[in-house]
Amino acid sequence: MTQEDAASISGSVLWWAYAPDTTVGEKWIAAFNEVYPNIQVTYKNFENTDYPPALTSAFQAGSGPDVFNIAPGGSIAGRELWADYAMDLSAQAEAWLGSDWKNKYATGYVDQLTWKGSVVSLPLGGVASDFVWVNKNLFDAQGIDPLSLKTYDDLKAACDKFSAAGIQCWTMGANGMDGFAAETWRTICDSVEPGYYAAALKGERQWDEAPAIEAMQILRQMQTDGIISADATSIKQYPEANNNFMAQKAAIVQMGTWYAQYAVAESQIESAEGAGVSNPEPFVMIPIPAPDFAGKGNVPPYVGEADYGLAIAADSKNKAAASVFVMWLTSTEAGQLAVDNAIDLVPSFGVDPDWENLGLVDPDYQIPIFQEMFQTAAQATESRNEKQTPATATAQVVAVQQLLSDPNMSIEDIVAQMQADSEPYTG
Amino acid sequence: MAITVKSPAASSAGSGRRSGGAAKRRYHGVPAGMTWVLPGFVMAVGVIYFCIGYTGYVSLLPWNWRPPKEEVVEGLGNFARAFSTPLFWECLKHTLIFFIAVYLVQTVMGIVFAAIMHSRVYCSVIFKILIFVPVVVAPAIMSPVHRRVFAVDGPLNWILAHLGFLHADPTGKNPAWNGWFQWVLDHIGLSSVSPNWIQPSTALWVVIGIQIWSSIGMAFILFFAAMGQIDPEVLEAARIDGAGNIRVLVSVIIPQLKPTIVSLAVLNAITALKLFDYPYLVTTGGPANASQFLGTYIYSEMFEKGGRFGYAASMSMLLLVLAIGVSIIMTVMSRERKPEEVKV
Amino acid sequence: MFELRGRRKRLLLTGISVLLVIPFIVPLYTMVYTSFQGRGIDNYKAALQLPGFWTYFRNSLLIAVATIAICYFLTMAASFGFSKLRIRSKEVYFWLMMGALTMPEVVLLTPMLMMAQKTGIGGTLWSVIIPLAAMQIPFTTLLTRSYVDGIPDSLFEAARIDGAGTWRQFWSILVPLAKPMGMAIIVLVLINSWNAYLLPLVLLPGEGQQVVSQLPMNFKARYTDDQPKVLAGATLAALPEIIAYVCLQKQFERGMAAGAIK
Repeated sequence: MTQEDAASISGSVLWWAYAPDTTVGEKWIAAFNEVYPNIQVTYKNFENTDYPPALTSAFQAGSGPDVFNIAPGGSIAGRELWADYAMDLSAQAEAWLGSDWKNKYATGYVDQLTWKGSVVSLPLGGVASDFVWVNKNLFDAQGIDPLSLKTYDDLKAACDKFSAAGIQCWTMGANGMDGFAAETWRTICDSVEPGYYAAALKGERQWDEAPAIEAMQILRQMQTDGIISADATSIKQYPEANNNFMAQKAAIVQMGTWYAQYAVAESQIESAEGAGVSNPEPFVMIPIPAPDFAGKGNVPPYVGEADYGLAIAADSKNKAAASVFVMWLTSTEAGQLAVDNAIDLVPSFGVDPDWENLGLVDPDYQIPIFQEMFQTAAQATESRNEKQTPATATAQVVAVQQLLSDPNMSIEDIVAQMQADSEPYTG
Repeated sequence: MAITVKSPAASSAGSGRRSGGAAKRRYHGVPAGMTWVLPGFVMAVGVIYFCIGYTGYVSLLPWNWRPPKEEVVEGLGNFARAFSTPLFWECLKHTLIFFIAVYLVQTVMGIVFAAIMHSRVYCSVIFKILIFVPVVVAPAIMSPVHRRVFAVDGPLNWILAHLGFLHADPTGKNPAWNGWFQWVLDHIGLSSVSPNWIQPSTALWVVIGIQIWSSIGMAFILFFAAMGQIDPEVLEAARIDGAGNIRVLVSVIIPQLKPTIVSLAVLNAITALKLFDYPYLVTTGGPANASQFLGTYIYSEMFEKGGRFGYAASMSMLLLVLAIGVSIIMTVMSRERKPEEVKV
Repeated sequence: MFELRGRRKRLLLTGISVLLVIPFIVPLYTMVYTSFQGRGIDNYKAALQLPGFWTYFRNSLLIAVATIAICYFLTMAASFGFSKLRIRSKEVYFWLMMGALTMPEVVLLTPMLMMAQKTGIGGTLWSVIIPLAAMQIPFTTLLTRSYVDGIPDSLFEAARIDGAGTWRQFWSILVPLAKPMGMAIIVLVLINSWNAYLLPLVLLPGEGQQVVSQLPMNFKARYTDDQPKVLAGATLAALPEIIAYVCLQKQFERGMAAGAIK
């Protein structure tokens, strides 16, 4: 249906997803209802790990939601897992936006959400990672310029100063099955030999080759040198490592573009209170490029892709109403503005957030940096999770856990096991 | 209610009469029980066995089958895959260790606590409540708390530090054993144990510890109730014979607790086999599969590796067979020695 | 049960009990302590002010009461049957029931949901009550059967000789004598149904159908968990269970004391 027809549609839509948070989702729905008051949308949020069981069971029993999230890859919402349940949205997108519809989205996003020729979801926003966030206040207190961290030695020197002052340096949580610690290893791989990791994902290289081993050695070295704490494998990234950063107990954390949402003073204060701090002071956080760990002159680049998109269930009984909602949120300026103002997702429809009015802690300093971050993110040439099969992702998580928890385990054994448990991307 | 536990004396006259032609009469006299058992049976078996049947069917589908892909019955390949995967056997090993440790501590400490609470301890009500509250609170809630308790800078290490076992470093993140305790550990072959508890060498024991914490209360209640049913006259008789407290406990009380001890064995075996909550929520089966159990492994195959429902279903069926087998063995072993009803 | 001569011995035993109980307290203390961090008592206020706060409790209560009622009666009946009555091949039936105990909950999700849809109870509280009861009956029957085994057969024979029918035997002998076990059943089923998480999450997705175990989820965001508020919500959710246990505990002890009266 076209944008003109949409005004006459009414109905109710059920949306299940693991993101965004409930309060954010309800804000978007409220904004949607100002334009389309005749469509009720109910949003139910699930924990990441509850999402697959709930969704599978519901679809299997014929009582699934109308709208749900599909991401390029990963074991929570990857295309491969959910494509069978989603309807092809290309016809709807074309009716809404015209024949040139694909180019209206950020480069590559639609392809990343297409499975075997069917556009299973339309991008809501993007993500990029393989860089780090720092607490500028803590850096200033030690007299270090965050942008001066260019090599491993720079990093170590900074960390020594932080440790002496009782502050953790690089907080990492490797417990649990989320892939953040493995992502650090990936970042190091990119500084050892650019292109190796991407090739290995497709099976063109093996996971037990020299670059992987060298990256593992560097990661282990980070722990020995005290850059990463000894309890990395006992804590999870969320909430423990995240809490460390928000409570200003750590100076560096490896997160991606989604972390920008915590640069807003109000969110930051809430997070710090959630971390157990009473009456917290907001601090200035900024992204910086990851250091050239291997010292070969390769600064790890951003890797980015569509974070997730909205899909419509193939057996939904409310397809018309669901289509209006999905199209408004993903493919109109008003909808995307609502989404982008959360500064959680990289804008996928070319709409800039309303930077000045977001409540950043230090707008003059942070806005240009964030704008540059989003621009670099949109231009990323390598994707993040799209080509990671669930088996490969799990194998890497386990490998990094072994590396960081057992100093006596040989790296050759670890990468051999990782190779054996991985599956190449064939999509 | 006039009829009490004392009635054996009242029926003694009757039993004398019954010993003659009583056998036939008694057989006919015992009413049929099927109607009594049927509702519970239908509900439990009907609902659950439908699920078991469904799972059995899925276990014969390709190992990476996931609804709604088309179904192509393949056969027993998934079972072969399970047997040939080292991780499967790791899980079973963890399960066995878990079962032995938890059951032993639960039984011993359950009986000890029940015995203590039956004695004239001050404020026994408070103790009883405290012991049982861990059973009440849901694992989903307590898991982050437990991660905190066992964290390198958490309450457990705080207590150990104040008792002189270990000391922390300035950042608080690298505690180390004090020299004397490290010496002790080295000499009993446990030198790899470190105050960093959620590590491959000790993660399993963290899960075991948490499970003990959360289940002793239940064993306690069962033993407490069973002890309450013991005829005080028997206890009196033993005391008159001069038995001290320990003797009374071992020779009089514990034999009467036999049925409960057996039930607990069966329940712990089944719990150990299908264990999921704590290992998943606290350590996620790790780090690096150090605390992986069948329940968590099945879950990860279903939902973390992209939907290998066929393989997960086959392991569920193996779990079923194991659980029933173990339960039957345990109960048969104990039934042999079940004391005949006392006909005084 | 044990004789303790003099206050000294009683104090000693109390002291030992205190030491033994410390490991139980540490996590609970940590939980409550953490729930007061950050904003302090406001965490509890935030939980109480959640929209639909009381709906969570109402739903959990309805589910718990129904599940307990079903389990109590069916378990007493089944234990009576298995332990005291004549059934051909009773062990086979018994072990079939025990087999039902062995499935991990996650494996039950998809088939349970399918069954709920097909029998038309999908989306109602019954779709959770029936599976919860079904999952617990084997467990409670296992325990109760052992308990009932310990009630002398002679009691029932005496009643039969006096002309009491099976139903009368059940109500007048078994149920009162099995009261302590009955209290235990009530407590255990209450806990399991109150804490049920995965089943209600998947089977009751509708608005106004949440249960109390999902209360803390309101404070978990995608990237941050507001730990203090999560634990405040959790403490509030657990309070009814704890209070119920404390109340039932006295009943339970009275039941036992009555059993010992001459």
